[in-house]
Amino acid sequence: MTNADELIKKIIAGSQIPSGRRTQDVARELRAHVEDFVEAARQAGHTDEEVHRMVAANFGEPLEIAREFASLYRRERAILRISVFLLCTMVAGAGSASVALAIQAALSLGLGASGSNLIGARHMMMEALYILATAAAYAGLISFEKLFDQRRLEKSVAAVAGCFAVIAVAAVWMTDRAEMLIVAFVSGVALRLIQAGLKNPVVRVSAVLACFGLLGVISACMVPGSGGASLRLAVWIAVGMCCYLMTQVAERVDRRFWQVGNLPG
Amino acid sequence: MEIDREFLKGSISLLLLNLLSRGAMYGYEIIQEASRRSANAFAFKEGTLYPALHQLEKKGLIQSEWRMGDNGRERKYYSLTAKGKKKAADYENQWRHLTGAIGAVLESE
Repeated sequence: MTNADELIKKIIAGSQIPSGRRTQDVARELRAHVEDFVEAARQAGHTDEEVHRMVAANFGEPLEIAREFASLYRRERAILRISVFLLCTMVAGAGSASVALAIQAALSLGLGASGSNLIGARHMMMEALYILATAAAYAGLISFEKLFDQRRLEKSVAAVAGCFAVIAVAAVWMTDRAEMLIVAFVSGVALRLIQAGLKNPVVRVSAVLACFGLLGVISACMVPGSGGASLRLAVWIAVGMCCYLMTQVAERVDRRFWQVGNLPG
Repeated sequence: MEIDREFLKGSISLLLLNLLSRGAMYGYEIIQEASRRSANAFAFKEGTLYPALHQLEKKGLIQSEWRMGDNGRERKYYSLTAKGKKKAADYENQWRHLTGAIGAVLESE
């Protein structure tokens, strides 16, 4: 890689231009500029070594140029961030909620429970909302992490906690309840922490299932009566599995649409 | 004499619009032209030109297209839009008014 390539790569990497096509266009334009400069310098009789030094000296500080590009495209970046967040939440949340509800219905039928509470309209709505809110918390975390340079996870947890606190206050004011939002926030954070902290996929899945199994036990102890402890535990483990799949889908959607700072090949 | 970057920042739009009012140019050509016309006074860092050009393009004052240059290589040419032509004239009038006023202050006793 030449000095010029490295210079352009630094600019592109820091510019955070929210479009792969536009990023490629800027890289192509900068490369064309360097080619013109190098050609003119060689014609003026400078050696290759001198030319390399001149390129770096004349082009300016790459991080400063990148910052100017980043500032120029901040509105588009914000729109993209929000769009990717909503898309992640909807695709991953709706998909995993559908799967979770189908598994729950099958479990309640398979274990011979009456299932009236488990697959009742209110229960299903609450369950779907919980998974959607968990997806929102998770997608919010991975979106906010892109805003920060240092201590990303801690700062994004604080930011998402702030958002959830506002929504929870509104929920309490309107419906007098916000437990579901709190559990969804904790679940989203736990899923992200497990994903960030554990690299081995088997260990990761085990940790997710253990966390959700624990939630099932707590749920069975706190709200006894509906369905039985074993069914409750099985349902929560199924929800955990779906939430784990949700993180995989959300991460892929995020990566696919968030093409910032990629140097074209 | 080296020009303070803050002075240059405020006048770069005027400079670019004025240069492009003479015809379509690509980035390197703009730098060369600015340097030539100002007797090398505008020897600014070349990379900083592109964010400025992109900003003008976002504002709809200039437009760009890739086309083959004289040297047989593809270059991104910038040209003024109708809005940009109007703005170039407007900036020029403001600049003349401002420099006249500043000159009057500097030369007053």
